[in-house]
Parts: sequence; C-alpha cells; structure tokens
Amino acid sequence: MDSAIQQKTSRRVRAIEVTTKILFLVCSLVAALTLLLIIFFIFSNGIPAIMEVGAINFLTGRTWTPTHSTNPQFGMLPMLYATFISTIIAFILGSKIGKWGAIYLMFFCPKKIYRPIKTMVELLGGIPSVLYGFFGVAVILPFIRNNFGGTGNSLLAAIIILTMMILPTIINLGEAAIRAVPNHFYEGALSLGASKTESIFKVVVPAAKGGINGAYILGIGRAVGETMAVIMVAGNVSRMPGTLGDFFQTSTLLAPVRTLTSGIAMEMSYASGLHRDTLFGIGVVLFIIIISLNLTLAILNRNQTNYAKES
Amino acid sequence: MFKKAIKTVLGFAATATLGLALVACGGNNDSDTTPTTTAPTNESGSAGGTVIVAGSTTVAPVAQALADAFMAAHSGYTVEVQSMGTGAGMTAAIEGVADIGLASRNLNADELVTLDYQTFAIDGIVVITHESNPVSNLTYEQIRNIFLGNITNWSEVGGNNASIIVISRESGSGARGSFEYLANVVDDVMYDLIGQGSNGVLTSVEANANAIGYVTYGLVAGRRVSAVSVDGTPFSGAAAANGSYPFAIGFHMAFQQSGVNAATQTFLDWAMSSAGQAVVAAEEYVPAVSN
Repeated sequence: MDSAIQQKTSRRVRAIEVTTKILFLVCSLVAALTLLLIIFFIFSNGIPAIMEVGAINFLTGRTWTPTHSTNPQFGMLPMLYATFISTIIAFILGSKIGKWGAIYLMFFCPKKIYRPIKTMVELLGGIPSVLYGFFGVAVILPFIRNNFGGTGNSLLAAIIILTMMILPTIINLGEAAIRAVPNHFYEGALSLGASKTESIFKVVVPAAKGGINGAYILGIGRAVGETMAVIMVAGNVSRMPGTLGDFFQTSTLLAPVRTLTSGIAMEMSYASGLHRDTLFGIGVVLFIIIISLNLTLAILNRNQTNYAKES
Repeated sequence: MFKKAIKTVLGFAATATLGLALVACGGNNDSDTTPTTTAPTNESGSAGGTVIVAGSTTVAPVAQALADAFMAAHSGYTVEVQSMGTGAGMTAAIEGVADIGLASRNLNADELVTLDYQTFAIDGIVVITHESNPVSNLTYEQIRNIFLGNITNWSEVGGNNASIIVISRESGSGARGSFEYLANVVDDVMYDLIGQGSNGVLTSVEANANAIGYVTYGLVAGRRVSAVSVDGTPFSGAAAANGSYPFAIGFHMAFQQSGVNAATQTFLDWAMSSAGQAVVAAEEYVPAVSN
C-alpha cells in the first residue's frame, strides 16, 4: 500500500520533471533558433548583393548613391569608417572613465553616497536610447554649434553621445568584476606591505581583468550597435569626414557622418531592389564585426580567471 | 514550498508556450488564408471586406482620412492604413501583403512591371528656411543651383553673408525623389545634412538659422520655418493645379495590374468619386479630379 503510493508519487514527479525539461528545452531553443533565423535571413539577402556590387567595391567604395538613375554606387567605406572612429574614440574615453569610476565606487566611495551614485548609474543604463538622442539634440548640438560653428550634427556629437551611453555598461559590469575578486587578494597584498593604491591597481584590478574585458566588449558592442541616438545627432551624410592623416583637425570632428546602423535604419523603409539588398549587405558586415568582437573577448580571456563568472 | 515553486514555473512555462503557439498559428493563418477568406466574402455578398493600405509616410495621413470617411459611409468594410515609407509600401503591394501601396513619387520601371496606379491627390513640396531668414522668394534657377552646390552663400540670393546649409532626405524617400526630379537636380544634388523623415528636416531647419530644406506643404503649419515663394508664387492649391508652382507632386495609390479584390476596387473607385475627392480637399490637398 505504502509503496504503491510512493511509486505513484514518484511516477508523477518524474512526469513533471520530463515535461519541465522539454518545456525548458523549447524555451532555450527559441533563442537559439532566433539567432539562426536572423543569420540566415541577413546572409541570404546580403551575400548576393555584396557579390553583385563586388566585395572590394562594397567595402572600399567611398560613394553611396543608391538611387542614382544611371550609375548607382554602393560604397560603404564612409559608414564603416564613421562607425569605427566613433566607436574607438568613445571607447577610449568611456573605458577609462568607466573603469576608474568602478574602482572609485568599489574602494574609495563613502557608504553614504555609494547608493545614490550606483542607482543613478544603473538608471542611466536603462534610459531608452531615443532619450539620449533627445538630450543630444537639445543640449549637445546647440553647444557644438555655438562654440565650434557648423550645424552641430557631427562626428563629435556622435562620440559624446556614445561615450555617455557606454558608461553605465562599463561601470556596472566593471564593478561587478572587481567585486567578484576574492577578498584575500586585497588583504594579502595589504599584509605584504603594499599600499592601498598598489593593492588595488597591481593586484585586484589585474585579477578582475577577465570581467573588465567583458565589460569593455559589451560597451563596444553597444557603441557599434547604437542607432536611434546616433541618427538624431550625427547628420547622416555618407561622406568621409577626413582621412586618417588629418583626423585631428576640427573640421573632421565637426563633419556630419553616417554609421553602419543608421545607414540601414534610415534607408530600409524607402529602399527596393538591389538598394534594399545592399542594406542587408551592411548588416552582414555589422554582424561580422560583432562576432569578431566576441571572438576577441574569448581570445583575450583564454588565460584569465573570470571571478564574476565563477561565483 | 518546492512543489509550489514547480507549479508556478510550470504554469508560467505553459502559458508562455501556449501564447507562442497561438502567435505562431495566428501568423500562419494570416499569411495563408487572407486572400482566400476575403475573396469568397466579397463574391458571395455585396457588403464588406478588408483593404490593407500601406506606404508613404507623407501620404498616409490623407489616406487615413479617406479610409475613415469610407468606412463611415460603407458598413462592413475595414480599411487599414499603415505608414511605412513609399519603398516599403510598393514592395508590400508587389508582394501582395498590402492591397494598395501609397506613393509620394512617380513609380519606377521595376514597380510598373506589376503595379498600376491612380493619382488621387496633388500636394506641393515647399522649400523651407529658418523663420529668421530674410529671403522670402527664390527663383527656380536659384533653388536649383543651391541644391547643386553652385550657390553656397545666402548673400548671392539677397540674404545675409552666411553659408547655406543644405538639408536633404534619405536616399529613396518619395519626397526627395519628387523634389530632385522637379528641381531637375537628380543625381547631382549636394547636401550638408540628411534629416530622418520630414520631421528630421523640419527640426534641422528650425535649429539652423542658415539652413534650407524641403518638405510637403501640409507639414509646415505651426513650425518655426518659412516656406519661400518660387518665382514670386507661394504654394497654393490653385497654383499647383494650373502649373504655375513648379514643385507639385501627385499622391498615388498603386495596385496589382492582375486585378484586385472587390473590396479594394470599391475603395479605389470611392477615392476618385466626388465624395472621396471632397475628403482630399478637406485635408487641404488639391483633388486630382476636378468635379
């Protein structure tokens, strides 16, 4: 009698377990299938377009006149360059501010102001990008226009907006990475006679490198992928803002630019035929950039212990 | 406690899966059966059906007004207007996703292979400047040369000594296509900024004292920009209709050459009727059919 009930219960438990397992498998497959579908869709539309234009032409052409009546040109170099430059500079600024901000929050911040600062950083990360764009239009563009001339819609405006947008990602994840380093690293360094600053910068932060690299890559990913805010401030002209050599002239920083993502977003609803397919071609390039970023992270962290991941 | 947790999780998962399944089924049903379900309803009864209209963001508001008036006058009909841009609207009409595509530019040769169109309203593109700009009139040639990059300073056309900031629309935009065609600057236009949508152009012109741009007339009211006269003629319905204003554009409804369902045909015919054209006039566009 007793064992019969037990058997019945255990059978029921097993049934529940199997059903749950299947349900959860389906749930995880939804995400994986979505990725495969996106890859398939972008590549099946984009690769033929790239072939038709010619990969070299597509990647190194400087003229983007997709609706030209006799001789349309599909050169995406200006967009690639704009994405590259704005991301790199925003990253150089944002990674330093973010990393040092995270270190301050973790080691030097008085308890009283930790909560407010931390909450505000988290909120900053949750603000929809169109609001960053709105801030750019209302504050950054007039500032640039009044102080440096021109229209304000420029590479500089894009860099400022992107720097602001990647800060919360880097601060939050960077702090989590540093916090995950076991406490005895810090204490051990102190007890060996290192000063507080030495312990932090020579022991704890290097130990958190894996997690901090992860924060950097996610920050870069956000900068590369940001669309709406950039459309609102960058001016969206697909033209080289200057060559690498004369980059540090103000005219380069003040020139309007169009990034890869804004190129796709602005023209997709108006495009048809080869024009539309080349936008998928830009999507292919964007996808490859993001994949490479993730691979870079994997390679960088090959020999790093990521304490944030282990705990 | 543990059991309860499992139950909650199971319940959630079941709801989620069910929801997904329903959405998936709904999607399938839509794409598979829309043509077959609407066709019989139209053939069997005189009343009703669904018409999907999609396209130009410029044309969508007046199409929506037509749809509302049409539905008020014809019970049993549903007209759905989606605003997505001329290019996407033409694609939707070609692929049969939409019954009618809306265009604010002339259809190109590729589109005319499968589509026919009717012009149901006429609008003007106006050249706009910042409200503080003293230049209130430009000749057609001056406008042309500004957009070609031959005139680069406002002082050359009687304004302040300041560089002209030329603001354009995205490649493929209906308004851009029409403007470049009408201003005879196709393929050679120079610009300093590109606004996203008509609103992007308006915002940029409002923000830059020395800017020049173009949008359709209906959008200018209430914005801090001024519309310049062309060769002394300000935009008006009459000027657009008699050709004295050079930047008049047609609003088109495009549909499959191979034929449309009865509900769509009813709506297309009604839009060109005196009742439909009265709605166009009430929206302050120029009717395409003078009654």
